[in-house]
Formats: sequence, structure tokens, C-alpha cells
Amino acid sequence: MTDYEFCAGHDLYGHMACPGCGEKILLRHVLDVLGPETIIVCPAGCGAVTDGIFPHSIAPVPFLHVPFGATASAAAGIRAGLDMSGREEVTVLAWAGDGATFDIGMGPLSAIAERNENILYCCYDNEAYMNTGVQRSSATPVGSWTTTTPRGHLKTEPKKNIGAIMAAHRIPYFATCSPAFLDDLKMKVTRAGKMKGMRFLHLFSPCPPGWKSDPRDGITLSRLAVECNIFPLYEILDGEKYRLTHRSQGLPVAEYLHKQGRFRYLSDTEKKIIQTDADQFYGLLVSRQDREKNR
Amino acid sequence: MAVSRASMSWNKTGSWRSSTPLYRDKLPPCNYNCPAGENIRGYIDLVKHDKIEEAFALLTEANPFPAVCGRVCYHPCEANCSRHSFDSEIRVRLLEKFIGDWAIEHAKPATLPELSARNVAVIGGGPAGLAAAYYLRRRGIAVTIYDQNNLPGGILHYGIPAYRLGKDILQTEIQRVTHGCEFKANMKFGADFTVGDLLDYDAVFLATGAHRSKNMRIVGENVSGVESGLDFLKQVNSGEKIVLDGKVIVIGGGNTACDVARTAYRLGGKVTLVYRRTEQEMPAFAEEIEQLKSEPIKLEFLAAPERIERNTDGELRCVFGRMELGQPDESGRRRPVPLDDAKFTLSADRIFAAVGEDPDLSFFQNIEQSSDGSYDFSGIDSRLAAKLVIGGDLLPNPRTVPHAVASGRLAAQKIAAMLNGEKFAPPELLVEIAGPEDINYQYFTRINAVKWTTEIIENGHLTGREAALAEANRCFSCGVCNRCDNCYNFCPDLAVIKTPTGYQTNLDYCKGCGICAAECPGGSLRMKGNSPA
Ligand SMILES: Cc1cc2nc3c(=O)[nH]c(=O)nc-3n(C[C@H](O)[C@H](O)[C@H](O)COP(=O)(O)OP(=O)(O)OC[C@H]3O[C@@H](n4cnc5c(N)ncnc54)[C@H](O)[C@@H]3O)c2cc1C
Ligand SMILES: Cc1ncc(C[n+]2csc(CCOP(=O)(O)OP(=O)(O)O)c2C)c(N)n1
Ligand code: SF4
Ligand code: SF4
Ligand code: SF4
Ligand SMILES: [Mg+2]
Repeated sequence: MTDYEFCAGHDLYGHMACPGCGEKILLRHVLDVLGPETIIVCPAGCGAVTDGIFPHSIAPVPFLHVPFGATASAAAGIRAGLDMSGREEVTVLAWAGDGATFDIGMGPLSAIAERNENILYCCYDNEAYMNTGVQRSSATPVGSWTTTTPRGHLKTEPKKNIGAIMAAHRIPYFATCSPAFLDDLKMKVTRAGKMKGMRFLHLFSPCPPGWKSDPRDGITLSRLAVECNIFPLYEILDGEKYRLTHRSQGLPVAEYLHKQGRFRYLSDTEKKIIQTDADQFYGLLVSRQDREKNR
Repeated sequence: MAVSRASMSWNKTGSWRSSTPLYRDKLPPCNYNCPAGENIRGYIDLVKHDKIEEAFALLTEANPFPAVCGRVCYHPCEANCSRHSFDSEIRVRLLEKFIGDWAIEHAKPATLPELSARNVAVIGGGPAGLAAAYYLRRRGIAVTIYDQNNLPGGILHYGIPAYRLGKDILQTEIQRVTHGCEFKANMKFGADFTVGDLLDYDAVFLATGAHRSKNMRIVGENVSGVESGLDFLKQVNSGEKIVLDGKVIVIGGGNTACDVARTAYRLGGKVTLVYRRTEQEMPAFAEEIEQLKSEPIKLEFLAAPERIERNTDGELRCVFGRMELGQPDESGRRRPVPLDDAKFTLSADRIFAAVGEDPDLSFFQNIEQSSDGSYDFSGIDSRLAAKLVIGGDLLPNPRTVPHAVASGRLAAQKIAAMLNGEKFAPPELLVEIAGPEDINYQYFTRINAVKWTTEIIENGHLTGREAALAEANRCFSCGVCNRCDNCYNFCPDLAVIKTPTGYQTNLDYCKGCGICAAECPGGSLRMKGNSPA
């Protein structure tokens, strides 16, 4: 299946990520598509910490560590520097966790989106602050256990809709990607890679210790998230044109939830709410897509 | 800002691992459960790629009778197929039939090895004897088959009715199987030839089957009008014109009883089949029972014959005692226990007894049967005993065509070894099986089995090839690596290496997460050691 084997020629092993970490599966396939003319900008978080022990790194391209909330501003600065020195062909790849993106980095992110900076921003979303020991973020799904939403105080707020936020900035390209659907992922990275301006990829990133799931289940969970409409695969062009890139099987969300310890404390009513939310969200995407078609 | 380019390859994360991926091909449940030992997965894969000739060659390495088994085998392969619980099992038997029928039309006569000076006599031309002959001849050994009947085939010809297995198809397949062997018809061992005539052979394979109908051990079973069901089948299958226009009672619950009842119905009889236990305990194959039930044949369960009589006006009557089910017997089926004084009588024009068959070994003296059902031939003429191999229904195996075929093939291997002065060790079966729990069903879509009925195929309503290819394409290829690259693509540690023949784990870095094994669609990859959870 792989047409791109950029990473295969490099030592991407020896990294410090936990067994079964989804972030490293994603990084490898994204880089396989983007190739050597790439600079990674990465804030604090698992992606940064597990990359290597200074001065060592698994990354086959420059990998710049930046402060937690500064991903977008740092990326914009590097972009400007590259452009000034005539290196427009180099892709600036922001590679940030959900905490860094949905929460602390939101201001600068909104700023570069509004200015339509020429940046490919990838958020690998493991749905909590994992590197510091599983604290809730605004990407944590409703009903999830974290150390800051313990049993009895499970998270009551739904996950922030990052797609809608990015669409509201009318950026050229937004898409969701799953490591279980590599053809779809590579299609989207290829598309995004060829575009100019602000592109945002929302990457589903299983985290066994944070999700209290079996390390072997990472890909299965990624697939189920898509097939249960928890994490639909779609893209938004110019903030307007919605397109589902995978027709989901619409499996019951319970199949996804029950494989993860973080959802262990959910009541049946809460599970029903999650089911309804998932169905509604998918329905919304379908209607947005249809509206587009009928225009 | 720090930029580093030195790799992390010094960090051997393999030391984190508590369980290790192991690439090893396993036996699929179909192969494992095939009594004939066919490489089902292998030939289905060839059919998938439209390589029918190669599929035929692979299939016949284990079973020279695909057209026969494709019709009459009880297909334990299908019952155990991993696709069964997903949507519906692969119709292996119909694929086998397709290959068999292809061969009947297209297979060229095999070029046989030149004959050595070795000579083997095969006594009994049933599936066991014929399979032995086939594999012996392919080893360059001359074979003479002796049979008391006019035509070869044994039960296949004289027992199984033509509506289940057409005589033309059977005899055409047999011709191919016996190609290069000599068939001596109407030669009854013990009458037309004896031990002395066999001493010139280097080895003798005895597979005379089980043809003597068991007695019912009741009063009146020798009254005229009461006959052996198997003898009746033999008459019909020999082409005798028989008309049954009256009432027929068939006693028994095995394959013979079913075939007798269904044959009698086809000849015009009003048939009642009486069995002393219930449908659940019937020893006949499930498929036969289904077909029996679909025909206008009356079934009377929990009734055992007690006495048969002909009264003064010439009417034939059988008195039955009612039964109930008691404790399981040694076969595991619940034993019928008589209910006191509950009796009923049925009148009939013909009564067929089909309560089981025993081998007829009257051509030898001093044969002992041990408790496991096997026969001890050590008491016979020692000059013959030294070179005698037995097979088919004479063995204490389930009595089925694929078991008979397997015994014939094994006998050929054994005899060949014997003649070469080697010790024979039956080939060991790879016993690691990739069962349904090894399949990652997420990689397969539900497609229902091509609606094949035997009739559709026989009448040619469906082009066989298209249906066969579609059906073969549903097969999961359980237990083998199909080079899907999943392990390679999903490993978070890039610890899967592609090799020219497959994949290998880089144990220096593999952390043992188990993703690769979990995402292996067909179960060729499994984790060894403690679960990492
Ligand atoms: C009615 C019936 C239906 C069946 N249906 C099925 C089915 O659908 N599927 C299935 O898998 N199994 C079926 N079976 C079982 C299967 O047919 C037998 O297990 C199988 O045929 C045994 O093969 P064999 O070669 O050992 O013996 P046989 O097929 O019985 O062949 C033995 C041969 O030896 C010959 N012979 C016997 N004595 C002598 C002698 N003294 N001299 C020379 N020749 C002799 C006989 O004429 C015969 O040709 C059925 C059995 C019966 C009785
Ligand atoms: C300004 C600042 N605040 C807090 C931290 C501590 N910190 C380091 S990583 C991290 C969590 C990052 O979470 P996320 O962005 O979701 O990435 P993940 O670790 O889950 O991959 C935090 C809070 C920091 N490094 N800098
Ligand atoms: S904590 Fe989660 S995200 Fe971080 S390295 Fe481990 S598996 Fe990956
Ligand atoms: S799916 Fe194919 S290989 Fe697996 S048990 Fe069924 S027939 Fe055999
Ligand atoms: S996916 Fe990689 S790290 Fe995980 S068990 Fe397989 S080879 Fe090892
Ligand atoms: Mg996170």
C-alpha cells in the first residue's frame, strides 16, 4: 500500500514512547508523505519528550522544541525565516498535542489561522495531558476518567469541536485522520501538503496508559472510533465545503467504550447520551455535505 | 532552539518487552478437520486466482476423488470454517465438486511413472482400495484390484443412490483414479481366489468394507418380505427394476436407513422410517437427515421393533415397543429405554432392516475383534500376515468416504516404505491451528455465500467458474501471511522488517505492544509470552 517509504530509510526506532503509542504511528506516516523537506515544530508533551534524549532524536528532519503555548507563533516565525531565505518549498509542520492545541496554544493558533499562514498544523489528539499524567483537556471526551476528572467527577463537558473552530477561520483545509485508515490519512496529508496557507489535520492518537486500554488495541480502537461515529473521517475546504471521506458502519458506541478503562465508570444513561451525540454529529456532517452537493 | 540529528538507535527498547510477536503459519480449521487431509486453504487460494488445474493437482495429492467427495462427504471442513460465525461458512465441498467436475471434463490423463518390479494386490474396490491403488501406482508400483462386484466403487456404486452420486460421474472419476491399474471384476476373495493366490504379491491391501447387515435380533426377522436395506440398495444400484407400490417400513437411523427410505420413496413406496431414539441421536449425517425430512417420508421416533409376523390373511405386521431416552451410552448418545406395555403395530408390504453393518471376514479364520473395534489379523496364514495392510471400514474409524480415502493413501505410503525396507512413520500434523479467535474480522466484509444448491450446479444454471471464484474469494486464508503489510505499517516502533519472503521482528526495538498481532487479519502472527496488558 505504501508508496512513500521516506521513514523506512531512517532510524525511527529507539524512541521513548510507551508500547502501543499512536502518536509514533501517525508521525511516521505523515513524514513518509511529506518527505525530507520538512521542519517539525513541537511543543512540550509526549511527542517532544519521547522523540529522544538530547542531543539524540528519531526524527529524520529538523525537530524544534518550543514552549508549550507557543507552537503556532514559533511555526509562523520559522515560516517567515524560511520564506525570507527563499526556502518556500520547505513544509513547516507543527506537531502538537491536544493540550497544546485545544487549550494553551489556542490564541496563537487562532492568530495564524486568521492570517492564513503557510503552515501544516497537525494536532495528535490523545484526549488529555498525557505526558504530565493524564489531566483533562478540552479535547477530553465527555464521561471520560482522568486524574482531574476522577470517579464521581467525570468530565461533563463535551469535547471541543476543533473542526468548527478551524472552519470559522475559513482556512483552506481541515481534515480528520485515523491511524487505522492509512490510505485515507495519506490522501489527506498529500492533499494538505500540496496546498498553501493554513492547513489543519486533526489526528486520532490512541494512548494505552492514558486511556487504560490494552496496548495491542490501538488500531482497533482507532477503527472503532471511526465506525462508531465518535471520530468521523471528513474534511472541510475553505471552511465551507464538508466532505465525509469514509462512510461509517454506524456501530454502537459501546463497542468502542467498553475496551477502555477510562470509560469504565459510565452509567447506561451516559452511554446513551454519548450514542446520541455521536449519531447527531455524524448526521450533521452528512447534512453539511449534502447541502454542499445541492448548491 | 535545539536541533539534533544523532539517532536514538542506541536505545534498545526491546528490553521493555514482555511478550514477543511470532510469525508462524498455522493450520486452518478446514484443513485440520478434513478426514482426508486435504490442503483446502491451498487449493481455494489457487481457485481464487483461477488456477483450476493447479488446484486439482494440489487437492488430489490427498484425495483422488474430488467429484465424489464434492457430492457425498459430510464436510466437517465447512462446519468448522472460521467464516461460519461471521456470515456463512465457505462452501468447501462445492468448491471441491467444482474442481472434481472440472477434472472430469478437462483433466488430461496423467503420465505415470514406469512400473518397477513391485506388485501389490488390493482386495476391495471401494474408496479405500481405489485410493491405495492410485497412490501406489503413482509410486511406480503395479497394482491389481480384486472385487467381487462387476463394477468398482464399493458403497459408492452399490450403496449410495444415484440421486446423490450419479453413476456416470462416479465411474468416470474411478477410471481416472484406476488409470494404469488392473481391475479384476467378479472375483470374490475366499471363493474365486484364496490366500495361496496372493503369496506372489509383495504386499496386500485389504479393504473389503462392512457389508453384512446386522440382525435386529427379534422374532420374525426372517419372515419373507423382511430384507436387508443394504442388499436392497445394491439391487437398485445394480439396475434391477423394482417397483414398490405398497407400504414400506425402514428400521434404523443411519446413512443406510436414510438412503433406503429415500430410495423406496422414489420407487413408489409409502415409507415410514422407525428409529428407536430421536432425531438428535440419529447417526446419519445431518445433511441426509435434512433431506430425509424434506421428503414425504413418515418418521417414527422412540420405537423399537419387537416382533414381526405374517397373519393368516398374509398381512405383514411389525409390533413396536415405545421407548424413552435414558442415560447416555458409551457413544455419548442417550440410550433408548423401553416404556412398559406401550406398544403399537404397523402393517407393511416390505420391511427393510438398516440397523448397521459388520465386515464379512469369513475368508479368514481366527479373526479376533478387540474392544476398540479393531480386528486382529495375526492369527491368519503368517506368509500373508507379514505383508498385509488393512484399511477403510475395516478400521475402527468413523465410516465415511474421506476416512476410507485417507486410510488408502496412508496404506500406499506404508506399503511403499515396507517395500523399500524403511520404517513407516505417519507424517506429523502441524497442530497449531488458527481458529476464529485468531481472525481479525474487522478486515473482512460480510458477503453471503453464493447461493449454490447442488441442483443449480447440476443443471448448469450458474456458470460454475464464476460462482467458484466468488466463493473462493470469501476465504480468509486462515493461518497464513498474505503480505497485507499491516504489521509493518502499524508498528509504533518501526520494528517490523520486510524480507523477501515475509516479515521479521526487529527484537532490538520491539516493545511487545501486540498491535502487529492484533491487526494480522488471518492469524499467522501471534504474541508469545505474557500478555502485555
Ligand atoms: C448406504 C450407505 C451410504 C453412505 N453414505 C455416505 C456418505 O454420504 N458419505 C460418506 O462419507 N460416507 C458414506 N457412507 C460410508 C462410506 O460409504 C464407507 O465408509 C466407505 O465406502 C468405506 O470404504 P471401503 O473402501 O472401506 O469399503 P466399501 O466401499 O464397502 O468397499 C469395499 C469393497 O470390497 C468389496 N468386497 C467385499 N468383500 C469382498 C470379497 N470377499 N472379495 C472381493 N471383494 C470384496 C466390495 O464389493 C466393495 O466393492 C455410506 C455407507 C452406506 C452403507
Ligand atoms: C507552560 C507550560 N506549562 C505546563 C507544562 C507542563 N507540561 C508538559 S507536557 C504537558 C502536557 C501536554 O499535553 P498535550 O499537549 O495534550 O500533549 P501530550 O502529552 O498529551 O502528548 C504539560 C502540561 C509546560 N511544559 N509548559
Ligand atoms: S503517554 Fe500516551 S501519548 Fe504519551 S508516549 Fe505514552 S502512549 Fe504515547
Ligand atoms: S475461511 Fe478459508 S481457510 Fe479459513 S476455515 Fe474457512 S475455508 Fe478454511
Ligand atoms: S507492533 Fe511493533 S512493537 Fe508492537 S509487538 Fe509488533 S513489532 Fe513489537
Ligand atoms: Mg494530549
